[in-house]
Amino acid sequence: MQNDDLKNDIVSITGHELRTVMSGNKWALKMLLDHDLGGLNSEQEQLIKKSYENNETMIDLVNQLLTHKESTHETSPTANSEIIVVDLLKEIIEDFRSESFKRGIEIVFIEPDTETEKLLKLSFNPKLFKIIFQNLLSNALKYNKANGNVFITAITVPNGVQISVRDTGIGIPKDEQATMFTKFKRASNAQKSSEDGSGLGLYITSRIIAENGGIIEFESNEGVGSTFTFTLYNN
Amino acid sequence: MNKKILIVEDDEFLLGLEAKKLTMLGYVVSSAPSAEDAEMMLEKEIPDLILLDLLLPKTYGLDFLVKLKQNVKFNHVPVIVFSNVADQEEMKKAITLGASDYMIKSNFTLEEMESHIKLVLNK
Repeated sequence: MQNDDLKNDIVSITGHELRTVMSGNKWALKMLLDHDLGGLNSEQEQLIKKSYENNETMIDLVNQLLTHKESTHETSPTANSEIIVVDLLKEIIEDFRSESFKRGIEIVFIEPDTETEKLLKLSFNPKLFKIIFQNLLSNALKYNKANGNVFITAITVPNGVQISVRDTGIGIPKDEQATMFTKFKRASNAQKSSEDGSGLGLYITSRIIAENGGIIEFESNEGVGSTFTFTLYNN
Repeated sequence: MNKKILIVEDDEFLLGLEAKKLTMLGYVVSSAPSAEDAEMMLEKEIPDLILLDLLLPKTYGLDFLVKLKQNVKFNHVPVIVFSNVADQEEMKKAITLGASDYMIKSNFTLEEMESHIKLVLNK
């Protein structure tokens, strides 16, 4: 539809403009924080640190909104292709290596042990598959503990695949678990952490899965960790 | 020898920050506000790496990349696309056309950007 195309273009252009402003802020504030331009007193440092964090939250928000735009735009079945699940998971995990190294967290992919499962194929939109897995893996790293772990497994289920991402992180408080997939929801302990987040990641992830006939569930214990498990079927 | 970087960037604020950081990190930095200016500068001196923005005043960054890669005088110079265009298709296109890397500005600090430069230069 022409209207949709126009809307998408406007979103893309606005996204570009916002990112440009936020890049400048990010770099300038980071230079000040790194004392590239001279020392700061503690009050100046606090103010700049807060501004930097707020700017990071905005970058995250724009990234999530644009991902959402892309995902709603890309749900047509024609975008489906045969995904070799294990290979794609490995590729995405590889993209997160430097991030996990920086955080001192080990990502362990427990690969299926039979040859047939190693070649496991899924007919699904690869872009959407990536968004789902990236969001879950990113959360597992962000809300983990120093020297924590992330364990990933992939198994076959009738006509599909089931993937789980387990972390050894801060977990989700029991009384907040029912609302974790709602828009802009961030768990209270996540808000208290130093991590930035928009509260859109799990919402978008669950929407994509539901709209494509899949299932997402989780189990979590505060202070111990969370396991997110999603099942996708051949589309 | 300090490595020479040519930054093709039309946003003065961003350019100033990129140039300052890279200079502090020991690079020799030159800059051009458009693809046309970059072409003139390349005639005078060939850098070790080009940091290329995409939305430039006249020629689009990827069209400039094509031109560079077609010219035997410059096609050995690695190009890192450094842009806020986050479109997956453009990213794929840039890599297919010969860019060594594609980075979305807002997702990286300047230190992280420099570590990518280092990686590309050491290849």
